[in-house]
Formats: sequence, structure tokens, C-alpha cells
Amino acid sequence: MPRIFVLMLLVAGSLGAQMPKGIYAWWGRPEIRRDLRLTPQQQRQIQATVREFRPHLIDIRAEVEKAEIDLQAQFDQDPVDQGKANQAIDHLIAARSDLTRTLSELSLKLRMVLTEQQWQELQRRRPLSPGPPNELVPQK
Amino acid sequence: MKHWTEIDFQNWLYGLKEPDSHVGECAECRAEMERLEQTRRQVVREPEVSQDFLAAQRRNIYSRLEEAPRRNWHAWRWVLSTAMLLAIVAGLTLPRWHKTAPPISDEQLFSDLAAMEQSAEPKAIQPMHGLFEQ
Repeated sequence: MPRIFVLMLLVAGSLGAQMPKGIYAWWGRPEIRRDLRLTPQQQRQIQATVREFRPHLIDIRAEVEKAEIDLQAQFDQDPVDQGKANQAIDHLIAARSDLTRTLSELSLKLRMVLTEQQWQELQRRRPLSPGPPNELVPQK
Repeated sequence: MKHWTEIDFQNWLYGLKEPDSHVGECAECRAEMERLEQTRRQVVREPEVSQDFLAAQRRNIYSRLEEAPRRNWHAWRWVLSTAMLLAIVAGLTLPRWHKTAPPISDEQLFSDLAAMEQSAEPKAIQPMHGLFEQ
């Protein structure tokens, strides 16, 4: 019985691991561009959209990293200043919220460039986890 | 009567001795007096300078005074122009260097962003997991 329970946990874990993960730079992968059959016009629109968001995303990445470091520093204090630690938590939440919002806005703009068929194909080709192209595994 | 000595002539020449009766009678001493006086007049005489020479000299001085600041301005103009050019070049290139200093590919940037977005909790609280592990 305990073995069955462990097995169920493993299966559940593996299924969870195959859930679609977040955004990745699919527009930079030739095989995806080819499979989606992006037109030159679409490629230009995608590049322009990414270029538009890129500076803000770089800032957000730095902001989240800084907020993480600040929060870690507050945790490492002795004694811990609860007020400052709560401020650092709020800052981190705000930075991560900005990250989620901006990535969602970028994704929406990119989705609007794609046709329904291209969108379905892109969904099907989502990687299991963010990372280099060799982790790309089409889902069925 | 004795002839005047050299000291006598020097004293007379500088007004310390009056001519006496000997000089009035002695042609030799009187000739020496005239020679000394003529030499002295030549020595103390102011040189003759023509008005034209002075005017030319004045014009030369004024023209050099006017040219000096102009030459300085020419030199400063080049220095300022070069400095401004360097400042403009630096202003145009430094921000670009600053922006491109940390080059990051789309692949890396979005990989980082996705990892951040998907991490469910702050790194600072991850050690707390140990409290719940069996």
C-alpha cells in the first residue's frame, strides 16, 4: 500500500512537470519559425514587439533580483527588523507583479500577431521548462 | 707757470675748478680744454631720432599689441572646438557602450524571466522548507 502511494506521488509529480511553462524566446528558434510558417510581415511585427518590451523587461529582471537580494539581507539581519522586512516583501511582490503583467502584455501582443493555427502550433511546442532549445519537447 | 695736470682738467670739466690765468695764456692747455669739452658734449648729447622713426616704432608696437590677443583667440578656438567635438563623441558613444555593456540574448533574458516568474516563493524563504521536511 505504501508503495502504491509513493507511485501515485511520482506519477502526479511527473504529470505536473509536463504542465506548460512560461514564456521563452520561441521567435529566435529557426525550427519554430519554420513550423509556424511565419510570414516576413509577422516576423517583423514580432521582432518590433520584442524590441519594444526588451528594455523594460531588462529593468524588471534587475528589479526582481534586487528585491530578492534586499529581502535576503533583511532575513540575514540579527535582530530582524520586521518593518523593513515587510517593506522588502512588498517591494518584491510589486516587482514580481510588474514582471507578470509585462510578460502577459508581451504575450498578448505576440498572440495577436499569430493566426489561430499558429497559436495552436506554438502551444503544442511549448517546452516542458524554460531553458535551451534541447529541452524543447512537443506536447501531444 | 706749470701746465694743468690731468686732475686739474677733470676738476674743471666737472665744475670743481675755475679756469685760471695760466689757461688764458697757455695755448696748449686751452686746446686740451676744448678737446675735452668737445668729447664731453659728444658723450652727453642725446641721439637724434626722427619723428618718422618714432611713429613707425609706435605703429609697430600697437600692431603687435592688437595681434597678440587675436593669436591667443585662434589657439583657444581650436582647443574649444576639439573639446566640444570630443564631448559630443563621448556623449553619443558612452550611453551606447553603457547600454550594450551587459549583452544578453533573447534566449537568456526570457529564460531568466520565466524562471523568476515561475518561482513560487522568494529565495530568502527557501531554507524554511527544512522545517517541513521529514
